[in-house]
Amino acid sequence: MSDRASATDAEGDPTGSVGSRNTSGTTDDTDPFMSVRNLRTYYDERTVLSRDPPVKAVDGVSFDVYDGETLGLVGESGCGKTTLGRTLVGLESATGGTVEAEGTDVTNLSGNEQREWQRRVGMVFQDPEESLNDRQTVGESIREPLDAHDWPFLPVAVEGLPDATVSGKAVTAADSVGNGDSATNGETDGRTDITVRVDPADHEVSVREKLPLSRDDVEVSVDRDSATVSVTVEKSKREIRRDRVFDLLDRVGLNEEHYYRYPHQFSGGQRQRVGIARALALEPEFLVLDEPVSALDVSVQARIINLLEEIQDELGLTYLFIAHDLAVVRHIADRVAVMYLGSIAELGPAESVYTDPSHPYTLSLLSAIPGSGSPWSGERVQLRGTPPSPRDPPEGCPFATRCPAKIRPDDPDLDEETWRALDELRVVFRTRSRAEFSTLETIKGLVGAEVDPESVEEAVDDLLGDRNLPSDARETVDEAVDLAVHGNDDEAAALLRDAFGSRCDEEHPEAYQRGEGWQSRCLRHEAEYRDAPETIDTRERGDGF
Amino acid sequence: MSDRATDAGTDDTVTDGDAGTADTATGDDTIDVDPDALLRVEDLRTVFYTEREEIHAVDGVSFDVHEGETVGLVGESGSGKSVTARSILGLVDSPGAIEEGAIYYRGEDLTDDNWDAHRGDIAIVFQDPGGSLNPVYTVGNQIREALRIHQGLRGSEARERAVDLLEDVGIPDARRRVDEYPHQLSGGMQQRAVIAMALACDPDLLVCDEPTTALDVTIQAQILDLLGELQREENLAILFITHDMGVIEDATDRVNVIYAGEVVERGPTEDLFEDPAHPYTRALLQSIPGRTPPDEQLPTIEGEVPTPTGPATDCRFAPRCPAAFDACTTFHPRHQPIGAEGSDRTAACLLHDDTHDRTPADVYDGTDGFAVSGGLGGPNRSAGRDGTDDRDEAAGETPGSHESQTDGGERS
Repeated sequence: MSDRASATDAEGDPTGSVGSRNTSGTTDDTDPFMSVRNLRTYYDERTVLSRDPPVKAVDGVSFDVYDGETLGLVGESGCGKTTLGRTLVGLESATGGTVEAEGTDVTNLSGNEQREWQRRVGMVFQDPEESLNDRQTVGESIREPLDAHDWPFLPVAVEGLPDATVSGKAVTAADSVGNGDSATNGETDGRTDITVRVDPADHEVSVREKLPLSRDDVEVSVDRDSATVSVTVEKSKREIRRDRVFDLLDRVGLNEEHYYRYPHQFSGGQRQRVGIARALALEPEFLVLDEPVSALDVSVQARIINLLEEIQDELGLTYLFIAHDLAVVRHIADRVAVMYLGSIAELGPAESVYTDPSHPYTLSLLSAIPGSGSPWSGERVQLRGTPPSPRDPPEGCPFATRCPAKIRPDDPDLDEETWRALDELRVVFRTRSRAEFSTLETIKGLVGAEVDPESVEEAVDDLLGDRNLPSDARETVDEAVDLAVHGNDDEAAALLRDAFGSRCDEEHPEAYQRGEGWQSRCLRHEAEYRDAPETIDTRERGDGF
Repeated sequence: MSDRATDAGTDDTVTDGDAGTADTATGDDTIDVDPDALLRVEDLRTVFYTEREEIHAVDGVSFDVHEGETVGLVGESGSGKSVTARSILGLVDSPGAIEEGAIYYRGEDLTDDNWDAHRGDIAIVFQDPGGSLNPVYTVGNQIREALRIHQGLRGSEARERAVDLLEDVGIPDARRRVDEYPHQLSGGMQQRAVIAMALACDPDLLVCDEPTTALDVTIQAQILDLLGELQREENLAILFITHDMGVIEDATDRVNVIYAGEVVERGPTEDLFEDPAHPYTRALLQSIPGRTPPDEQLPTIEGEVPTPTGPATDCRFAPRCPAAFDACTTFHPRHQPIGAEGSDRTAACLLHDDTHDRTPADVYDGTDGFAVSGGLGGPNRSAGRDGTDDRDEAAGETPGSHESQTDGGERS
């Protein structure tokens, strides 16, 4: 608890996790499996020749993941959800922040510790076609992580013989005694593969059930005088690995003969089963599932979802389930995090978030689900445009440029439609300021000549032509247009922002608690404002127009 | 078919002739298609010849599309829906060929090599907008090319029209965007540009083949909205092809469910969603995660869509159908009317064909084994239907029937 509090200080607010717990009810008051604090992952492609700012794919994210739960992660493409998942399992390196598991920051591991973390976590990718090597048989693909980690480690625990030394090829000492790959922080005795119980007369050997190894494959002799236990495993590692792959194939609903086939002989659903088997090979505790069913037909999708749920129950896995399909996430997730432009807009128990969304972005996403799958009963919220570039995120609330519930200043007094037109005009200027100008246009701008005046004027006319603007507002717009026409799109956007912006354009909202383990980053949660659903309902019904 | 044919006047000969062909050829296609429809697909059969086998990708598909309406074609991958789209556009190339059937556009059979005459009347929007745009030409260039070919516009006139079209499809700052290359646009904007290109032909029928599948749900909502708007403004007819039942529910007036090259059920979208008649339609609807309570396992369909390699002699869904009985493996089901007379609903399922006896043990009790609970999409959907409650209750008593399906599912 103490380290959680200190980690949280980094960001200054208790993010998401405090007080929240696994809604499936298996853990109460336990430390989370994983605590993510102010995590940032940037892609910085700057070179001598290019001055592009870094892509802020994940930009200050904090949450906890609890043992045995499924945390859903939803958002539009480009919001950073895949990068976040990849960072958690060590496939991307974090630019800043921490990911703590059992008190260790796993973003900064090396050597054996890193290998051990990689063993404990796994990832299932969206496209089973891309994630499997076409020239490897399915069996080889699944076996690859076993080979890479030189599995099995066969840690041997000795009971009843203090300070025993374990000797023997292919085995390692369990971590109370030994070292190496099997160092496990002692968090689970499941990691002891072979247990030798020594009593004065005899010794008894047991082999962990899930291993494809039987008691008969192990020969043990005990030398009490020198306190040495020698263990000989008569089954080769190669055979053990092959049998492990057979077990995995069976577990995901395939069978032994599939071992020798190639991925192209499989259907999409079968390939995804192979991807799951491969992720399970090293007995991980945590899986990042990155759009695992998005490429599949609905009937196949349902079977894969059921399989994932079965495996989770059976093996006690913890899932981060990334998807853009909100209906799928609702079905599988205990809690859900809604991500927008590198940060988490809303996080809470899945049912609460789905039935009573607090953040205007969550609400917009839910209302966009086609057909009767949408839990939102009001008018469909039509989000304009696309998310801003993560290279150049807005200074205030990341969602402010598209928000249907954006707070408006009192002055000037405009209708919502006009506000949105002004917002859109600003987006136009911002987009133009980033666009590649032709050399001629750049020179024109430098010498103060007009750049493409027609298109500026047409855009303004298109957006504001039939709107009544008060004269001072109209003057501001004209001033901005004049700037833009002379190539100063940036300044034009800034001018509009200063004149027509609100708090939403200035502050990145902190996380407001909406209930137990439920938080949302929207200024509308402050008492002085109407909340987002009510605002949207009014505005979309037209009262606000 | 006969009563419609007599109403049809000038189309008489064509219709009769074709009905005759259909009957003699296979004797099993009895879908009524309206001879006055803008597009009439009758008993379409598109076959692909590979070294090993003939694949009957589209195997006797009939449907129609009227002016100003949106008709859906929904099915899983491999069901033949995209081949149907390509057949309508005349885009089927070797080793595939349209072997039988007719595609009437305003009464003229396109399969009589009439595609060129109607090139601009039917336009298509594909799933992947990136693939439909040429990366080395600006968006404006590509629209202007379509305008030149289909409307004979050139020069500044074409440029103005291109800007207008981009504005029509909701691209902000169109005058600047018209000079941008496809990679400078986001996926949603690219799809808008593709729609603008399609509109440049001034079509009467827009075939949309999974137009929103590659897009985010928010952008999908924008595109669906745009299509609806264009339809209202231009009285466009839209043939909407997708695997997404939610999109079908939102976007279409009538729907055809296609399975293994055949339409298995068709009807007004709302009726079909409320009370699906074919076990496949029902299973498809139940597989959608949003319709099952989160703490329950999703109902699933056993097996995979088969590849039709020969003429149909039985029900192609029978091996996966929990309601199948003996006759299903020996008779090819014809379309039977569903619901009240004149309801425009049919399903090709022997459950709705009383001429086939079911052995007592196999009698369909309405449960069909898919439903775990909640039946057809939850209680809100069952309002106003007779017998629904019985079915839902009975269905609730047969849990676990999907267990074996999960395991045996895709084994080959």
